[in-house]
Amino acid sequence: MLPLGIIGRTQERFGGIPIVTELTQHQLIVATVLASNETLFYAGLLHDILKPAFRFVKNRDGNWKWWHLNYNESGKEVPLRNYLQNIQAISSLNIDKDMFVEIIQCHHPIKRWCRKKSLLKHNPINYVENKLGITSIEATLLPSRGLDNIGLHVCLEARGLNNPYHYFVLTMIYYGLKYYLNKLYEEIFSKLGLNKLVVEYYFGNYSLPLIEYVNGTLVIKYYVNSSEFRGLRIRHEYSSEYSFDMRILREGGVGFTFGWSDVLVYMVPHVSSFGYSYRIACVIPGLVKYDGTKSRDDTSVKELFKDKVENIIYNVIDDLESSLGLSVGYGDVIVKYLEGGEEGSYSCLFCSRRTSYKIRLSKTGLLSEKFTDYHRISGSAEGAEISVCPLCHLGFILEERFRKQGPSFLVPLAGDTTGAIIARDFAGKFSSKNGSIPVNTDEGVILSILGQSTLQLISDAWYQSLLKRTSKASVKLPWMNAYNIRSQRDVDVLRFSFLISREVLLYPLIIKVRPRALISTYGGRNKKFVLNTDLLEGHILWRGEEGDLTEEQLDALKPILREMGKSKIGQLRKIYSRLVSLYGLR
Amino acid sequence: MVSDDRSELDELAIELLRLIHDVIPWREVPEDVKRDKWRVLAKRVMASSGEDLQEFMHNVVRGVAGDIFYVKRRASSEGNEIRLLGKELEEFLKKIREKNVEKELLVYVKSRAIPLVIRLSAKLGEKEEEGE
Repeated sequence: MLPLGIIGRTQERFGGIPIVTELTQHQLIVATVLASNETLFYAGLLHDILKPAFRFVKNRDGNWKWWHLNYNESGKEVPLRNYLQNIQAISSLNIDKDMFVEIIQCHHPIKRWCRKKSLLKHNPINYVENKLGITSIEATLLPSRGLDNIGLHVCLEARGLNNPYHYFVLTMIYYGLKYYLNKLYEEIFSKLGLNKLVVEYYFGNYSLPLIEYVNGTLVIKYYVNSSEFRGLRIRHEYSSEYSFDMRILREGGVGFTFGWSDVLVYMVPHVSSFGYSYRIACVIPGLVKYDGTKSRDDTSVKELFKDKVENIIYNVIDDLESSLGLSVGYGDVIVKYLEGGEEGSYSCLFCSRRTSYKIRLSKTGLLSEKFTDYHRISGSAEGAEISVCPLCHLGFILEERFRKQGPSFLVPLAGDTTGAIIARDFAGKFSSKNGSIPVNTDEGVILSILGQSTLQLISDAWYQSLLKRTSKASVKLPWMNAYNIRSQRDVDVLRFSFLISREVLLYPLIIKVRPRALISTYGGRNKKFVLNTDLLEGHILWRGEEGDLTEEQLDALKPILREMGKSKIGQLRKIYSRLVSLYGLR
Repeated sequence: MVSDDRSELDELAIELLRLIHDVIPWREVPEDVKRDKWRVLAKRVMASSGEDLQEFMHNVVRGVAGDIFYVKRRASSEGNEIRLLGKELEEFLKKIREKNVEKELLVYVKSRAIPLVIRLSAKLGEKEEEGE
């Protein structure tokens, strides 16, 4: 099992079906929208700091409430304020401490604990979460309000995608955007005094969190109330390093490194009159300002951010084209085509879009002797001369580079959840007392925008359990990684058990996932893996020369995790090595 | 996490593979086969067929050991215990018939040959991995 963190929220509607949202990531999203000054930013980052106590209380009306504005001190309920005021680290931050404390204390309209009553009505956190409504990205894939109206900027809306190459190019741009936006978020957070955020979860007995702040690094230690996972430790590090990674910590536990944009940039499907569409959206940093009485959106921040993102998109396309040495520089034409545009008198061989670019297709051109997938050509010329549109052209050439002999390129996609349960200790605690529990997994989990992004990281983590990054790659793009099958000595208990089980802990939620990715060696090293995506993708997680790693195969292997018990690492590595050898994983 | 009711079948599958493994005279097979015994065993389990379990076992063993030997009734010593493999086989087959899962077991084992062989190899441990 991969211990990833703890849930950030629940929802009362739809029968308490859980949401794949991590607590720190929820707080980071709120903080980013509030990154217009230090006080608001840190209030956002710490507003749900008492949630790891998991104090769910059933109201008279039968609804569950997650208490996190007060805590029990020597048998007496006291406001969160008492704790916040005594945090030494807060004093090191350049913030208005009283305002910080009251904003957090009053971020839900509960009069009992709030001193500054005006903050009940006009609270910046409440504004971001409910009036602006950015947290709807945690609860649904299709917010009822436009993404542009809830604190996100739609960086790119790709409309009418009708060919795997379109989706491939879009995904490459998404990863490029994440890479550059990470730097942009870093710049903004650094100005607010935050270079690195370290969050540690210690499972066992609950106690109030510990907070430290040293040289731009904010460290939050949460003590999670859980007997079942007593002794478990999870560490998150968010920083300018754009490299999602996981490892076993020397001092015990599991550590993850995230880029800021791993949490703040999303690619989400969308259905429109144009057919299949996708949006790349990101959180607008510092969008919301608070003047001491009211919160408001700062449109100038929005406009400035929009301009920066636009430049980044062109940088990404430049990077893509220069890495390929394309003689035709498409630049912004790629964006126009992704947005559904087309023009010209030629017709694309693959997708039928009109194009004004004449691409040579003969045996010495794009469709050389190596090209054998004629059955995958689905474009219709309708009297026009055949060529290839900029999107398909860029996708085709990228695919050619990636499928060359050597390490595999991997583009992680959002995995699917195939099952969900609630941790035994959590379920036991609430059902014995109340006859029900606050989260109901009978109908799985709710898909959401943030959930998609989390599931994409989970896919990444799963593939990293099997694969190891290598710097020896045929294409050099800072946001693309090449991989080889992990060698025996690079395998550890964490990776091996996650590889087999595909289970993730977001306490108290345990989900089982089906990882997904675009893999350059998916159909064998010479297969056009993008053009054949629809044929290759499915239940096969990794292709082997002797047998494929499928969910069914891994399920049959799962008892080994129990049978091995506390086997020594040497034996585990031997079993892993046998797995690689017997399936013929390359 | 997601429970399935195939745990009994799974146990029988491991038991079957264990019997097949023990019946094969690993000492007498060629060195290259012995060196790669788990891969060879997995491949044979995947590739072999049989009208019933007995025929399937026979084909797997013959596939690995060639004509040297197959399904020899003998007593072998394992620690201080004397094992009567022939008897164990008979009892196993009887159990399968009583449970009426012969066909199901065959399909289960053949479709999951690699993971089952990996698990068997882990169970048998170091000593037998060396080819006894």
